[in-house]
Amino acid sequence: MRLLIATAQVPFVRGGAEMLADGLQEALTAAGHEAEIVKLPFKWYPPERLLEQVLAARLFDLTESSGTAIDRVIGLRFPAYLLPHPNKVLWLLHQYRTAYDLWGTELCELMHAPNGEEVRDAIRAADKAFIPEASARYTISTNVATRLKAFCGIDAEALYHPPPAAALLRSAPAEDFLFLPSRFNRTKRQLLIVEALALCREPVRVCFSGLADDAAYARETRDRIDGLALTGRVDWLDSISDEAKIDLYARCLGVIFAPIDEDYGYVTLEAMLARKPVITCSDSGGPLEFVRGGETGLVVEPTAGALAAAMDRLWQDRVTAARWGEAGRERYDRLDISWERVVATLTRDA
Amino acid sequence: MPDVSVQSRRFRPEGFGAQGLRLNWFSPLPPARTAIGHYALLVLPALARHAEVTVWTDRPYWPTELEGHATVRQWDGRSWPELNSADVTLYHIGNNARFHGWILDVARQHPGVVVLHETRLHELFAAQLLDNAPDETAYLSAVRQCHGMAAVLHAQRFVRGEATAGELADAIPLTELALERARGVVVHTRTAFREVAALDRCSALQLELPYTAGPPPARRERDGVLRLVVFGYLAANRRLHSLLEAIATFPGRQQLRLDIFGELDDGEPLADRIRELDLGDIVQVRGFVPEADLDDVLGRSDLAVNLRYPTMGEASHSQLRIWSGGLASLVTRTGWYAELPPETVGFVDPAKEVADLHDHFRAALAQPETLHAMGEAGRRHLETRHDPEIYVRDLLAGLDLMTKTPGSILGEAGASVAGIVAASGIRGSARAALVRRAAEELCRWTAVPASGKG
Repeated sequence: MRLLIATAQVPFVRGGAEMLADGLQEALTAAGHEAEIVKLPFKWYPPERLLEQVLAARLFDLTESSGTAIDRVIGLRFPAYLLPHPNKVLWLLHQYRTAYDLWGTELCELMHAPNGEEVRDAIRAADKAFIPEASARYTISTNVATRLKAFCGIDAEALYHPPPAAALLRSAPAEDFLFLPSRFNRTKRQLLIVEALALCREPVRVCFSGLADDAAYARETRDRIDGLALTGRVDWLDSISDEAKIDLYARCLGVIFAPIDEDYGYVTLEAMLARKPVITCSDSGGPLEFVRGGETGLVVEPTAGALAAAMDRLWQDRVTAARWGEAGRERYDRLDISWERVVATLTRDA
Repeated sequence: MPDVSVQSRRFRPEGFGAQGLRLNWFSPLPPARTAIGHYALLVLPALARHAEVTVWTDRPYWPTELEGHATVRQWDGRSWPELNSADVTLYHIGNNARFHGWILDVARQHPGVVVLHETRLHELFAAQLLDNAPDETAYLSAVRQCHGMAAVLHAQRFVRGEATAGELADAIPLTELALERARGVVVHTRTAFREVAALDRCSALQLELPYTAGPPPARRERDGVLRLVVFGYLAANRRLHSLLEAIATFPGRQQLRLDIFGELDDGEPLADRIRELDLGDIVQVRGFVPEADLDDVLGRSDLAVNLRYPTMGEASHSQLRIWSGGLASLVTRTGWYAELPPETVGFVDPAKEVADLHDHFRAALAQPETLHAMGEAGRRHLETRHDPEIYVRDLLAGLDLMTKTPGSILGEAGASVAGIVAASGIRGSARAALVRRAAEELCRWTAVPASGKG
């Protein structure tokens, strides 16, 4: 098949969505398909730009290229998934979340615009009008599918894919630290983990890695570490190489990952592949599809006290931690998460 | 800011009722000297029984009694999250920039339902665009956009100081500008309803202005003198000069007394005119009277003179106040006033004001019992047609419908596309194809109504 992967990208910003598109292109190509990525440049401010980009996306004609048919379009990201095509399949990373589940929260910048409500309603109208055009609808997680159903009344099926370094992740004997590789921003709640660390009864240590895409939040977190006199118990590694990350996954005692309503969460899957238990929160979204509390890790309320108790428990009971790590890997293997399955599903006749 | 959880706010049921209607209310409030503030005090207690109301004011003080019914906050120019998280925002707009300029600023940025207390808004916009940071281009452009090039010629007369803003209110009402982002408009007169419906900007709803009738009034004994009263905000259209002329030229002028209460647009010229007409012993200018003292004022009077010409398209809170006091009244046969039941008021034709006033003075002095009958008929009309509970019930039903229609922003997107194409120089079939494609997609987009609050 000749396929186009339709996505949107903020110019000069590369993250999980870009890795997913690359992974999909590679997998499609490996399966013998001809695949290219079409990236629409994305800018979310002022809010009117969002609507202009929806309209712009709708005006593209991707039915054929140089006289040859484009067999299928796979839509990934807002607003690129709204591109019209007679044989379009969606694999939604997420909708424009500030118009949905983040509306009304401290994370919603759209609320601060005088016309925020109008823009929100127009985005919702666009999704309701154009998402059903797709002949088949998949999402990267059940969490994303649940939101789509709750807000737009549209059904979709979760289709999991492996994290980028899946084949390279390995395990080693646990050392004395918990690991969190993630960008520094408010949705990842590193600050909550620092607060929890201060409440631990055991001398728990945490290693953070990842660039800060919210500098103010990173500064706030650093100040809190200093204020709580936790400097000796926190390693702050900023950006690290893939090899270093794989090594830290292998050597850690467990992974602590407490984001707010994550869409999917590579961190959880990477931890499972490295045979490490995962501590997550009851409002963390995607990780809850994989972490079984008391089997492969711990699921706790998003409070410093609850997280501290969970961290202490892993620290105290290394045997159970190791058993949960092994169980996590077994669970991952049972879920049949593979690019082959993704490709077979997305290229199936609708 | 601490880390947060979004769990509690996810998947909120949509639409009114699931968690109660949340409503923003932008209005001048007492002690601002406008009847629209008193209207707020009348409506909000009834409204608060059905909705969670936040009242926004531009002042740091407000009547404490309001706090029993609503959250009251001073508008800071940036509380958009609060506005965006409500189900609907109501903007009360009249023609006085002092009271309504700041509300207009918000209404032109954030969508909502506009309650138009007047439809002639030329003075409001003229003040907004020309008073503080004068922008003649913006003013003339607004006039052209709403009323065409012919109206611009009138507007230029105003800019040159050859006409007053009030004189051009009929020719250049600029009503449409207040409805740019409106999802609906509420008016209080049939005339205003016809006008806003003709603009076809948004859904329109006509309601009877609400008023709670006070206790039955005690009327003074007749003593052969006809005591006239004028009160309220006394702009030029209140016809005080015509009234003075009518009194001065009335053959039995010594049987007349006139008390003028309220804020005057032109205090000095009026005092001069009273002296010129030698009316010092007949006419008293008494200034602003507190609302609480108005009952006594009305009780001591025989006939209220409540003229408006030109009308700004308003319903008169003052007229409801007069009826509540069981007082007979004279109104101009124009706008809302012309639609009033004839047994409840006496009409004055704007083309022959003095003659009509003389007729009414004569009839009142000859048959004072007719004034009593008129006052009673007015009070009955008030009690049956202007109940605030009925007003709130109909208002909520209207708001429910208005907020279910998609916002105007996609229409604006369509207009922007049309504007861009028009300015692009693209002609012929290429232009037609481009416009058709954009229109097709916008139509598909808007075919699905936007959701309610979530």
